Amino acid sequence: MTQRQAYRPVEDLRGRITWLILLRWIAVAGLFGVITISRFLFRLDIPAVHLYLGNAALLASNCAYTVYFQRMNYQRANAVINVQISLDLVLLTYLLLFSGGIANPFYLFFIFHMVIASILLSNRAAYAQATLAVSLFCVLIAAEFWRFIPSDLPFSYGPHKRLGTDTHYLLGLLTAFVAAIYFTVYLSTSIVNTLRRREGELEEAVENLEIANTSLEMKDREKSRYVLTVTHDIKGSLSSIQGCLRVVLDGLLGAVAEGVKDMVGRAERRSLGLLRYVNELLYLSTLRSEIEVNRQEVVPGEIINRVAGEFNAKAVQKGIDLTVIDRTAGTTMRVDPYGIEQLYRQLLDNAVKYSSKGGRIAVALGINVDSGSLQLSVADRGVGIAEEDLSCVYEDFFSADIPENRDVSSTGLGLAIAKQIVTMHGGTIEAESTVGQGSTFRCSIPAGNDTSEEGKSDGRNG
Amino acid sequence: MDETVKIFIIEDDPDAAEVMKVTLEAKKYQVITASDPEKGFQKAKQVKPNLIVLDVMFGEREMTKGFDYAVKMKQDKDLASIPILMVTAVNIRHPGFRFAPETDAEYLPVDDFIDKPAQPSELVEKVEKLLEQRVSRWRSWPRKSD
Repeated sequence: MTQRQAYRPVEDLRGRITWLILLRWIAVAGLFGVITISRFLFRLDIPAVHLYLGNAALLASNCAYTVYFQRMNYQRANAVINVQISLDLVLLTYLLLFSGGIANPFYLFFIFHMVIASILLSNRAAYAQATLAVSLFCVLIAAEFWRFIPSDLPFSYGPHKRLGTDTHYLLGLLTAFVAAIYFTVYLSTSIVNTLRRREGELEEAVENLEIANTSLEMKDREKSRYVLTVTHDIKGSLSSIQGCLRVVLDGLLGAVAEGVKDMVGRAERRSLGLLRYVNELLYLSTLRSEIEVNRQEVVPGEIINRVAGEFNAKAVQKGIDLTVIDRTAGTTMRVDPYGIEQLYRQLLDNAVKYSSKGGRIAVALGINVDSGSLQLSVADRGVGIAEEDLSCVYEDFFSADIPENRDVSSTGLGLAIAKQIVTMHGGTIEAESTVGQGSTFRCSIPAGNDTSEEGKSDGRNG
Repeated sequence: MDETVKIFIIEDDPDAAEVMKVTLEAKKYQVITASDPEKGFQKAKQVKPNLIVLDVMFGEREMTKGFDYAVKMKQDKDLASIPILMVTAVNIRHPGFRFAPETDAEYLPVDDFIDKPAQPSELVEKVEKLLEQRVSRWRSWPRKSD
């Protein structure tokens, strides 16, 4: 118990003391109201002076607590709360003594003091407070028994006239009171204990979760860095292999026989394909290991025209009609210039790759009037994507298994790269498609013009 | 073609160096190579080549050592006027990202860039262009001692 309270944060203690002080202000106001109404509205003959005095003492004590609270040493908070509750019990007894004693049903207020003590204090302290309450109640009973309490009080006008005359009744009352008090403390403390334990467990669980999350993120970044190093080394070797083959193919070392040229040509094409694959893997890993988006002022419309230009030759060769509609009117945005270029390139590459001969590709670029975000759509009339595949096209190495596209050189990373770029910018990408009729990819990318770095580190797993 | 045109290649990957060497030798240039930038720097001062092909990266940990040597050459009175063709593979951050003399030469005193893997046709084209130019645009790069 004490151990659990030891790591309770200061904020928690501060809150509990504030709460207790607030409750006491309410008590002071309520008591003042009750005394005043009883005395002056109902014209009951009560010892108003004593009761006002008791109320004043409560008021004074609460003022003292409030002042002390400002400069309190929180290590002694529990002691302070203990004193407060004890003093409250004494004041309650004092007030009851002058307002009918045990005949006054307000003695029930002892009970809720026990609930407060159970919530705020350690179990042992709560039982100590219960014992104090029982002792004080004994004082009230004794006062009743020896007729210390003035007999002309309003609460003594019960059916028995004076309770103190019936010893059996007093004993019964005392027994019931003692049982009620300890039982209340027992029940309250067990509930509070359970709650505190759960709270501790929850805190621990949250802490563990945070640790796990951090280490997972670190591992993920580490993995990306590892892939980066490996692919970079592979790339160096591949470059040299491709270069050596190219030298042979170009006949720089002398004439090459046709058969040799064909074989070396195959090897060179494969090494180029592999080089592209490594480049994409390298880029994807780079994106995933990056913490921030490298934002620069760019004109997205200019980039789309340049990238589309790169694909023109390929499109013409396949008899594909490639149209670009740029409605951005030279608007500038703060985005990663190379990322945006890659996004365009991957989506266009995808569209060209899956378009059949004589197809059409429509690229549209615009700015959302309300949000200022960049809207890109790339629509093709190619083979389309099956509905069950739509959700996994962005996964690494996903490649639709389409027989007529066997010759298509696909790394299966293009759309994963596209999605990573979009999510890094805090944007969205979605695809719709009908098999045999074509697919449309739509992206929305926030302008990023404001200085707040929204979505700078999310999208790690895109 | 002038018989005495000398091209000096500083590149730590022996295969990449060989590919460039063979490519350029096929064009009847005299090619000298060095794999270490410091040795290459000293050797270049003796050889006095017409063009230096300089790799940007030497090993995994010295990704931009070529930049330092480009500056060092421009600060050397024997080498300052020799055009430099820089072989870039800095696409470790952005594969496909290209250096261009228009944008990057402002900070780097080199006359042109070529991306790895250097395709023979592109290499020859860039080399010929720089040889026509004859003198580095960066010969008056601020020197250290003069």
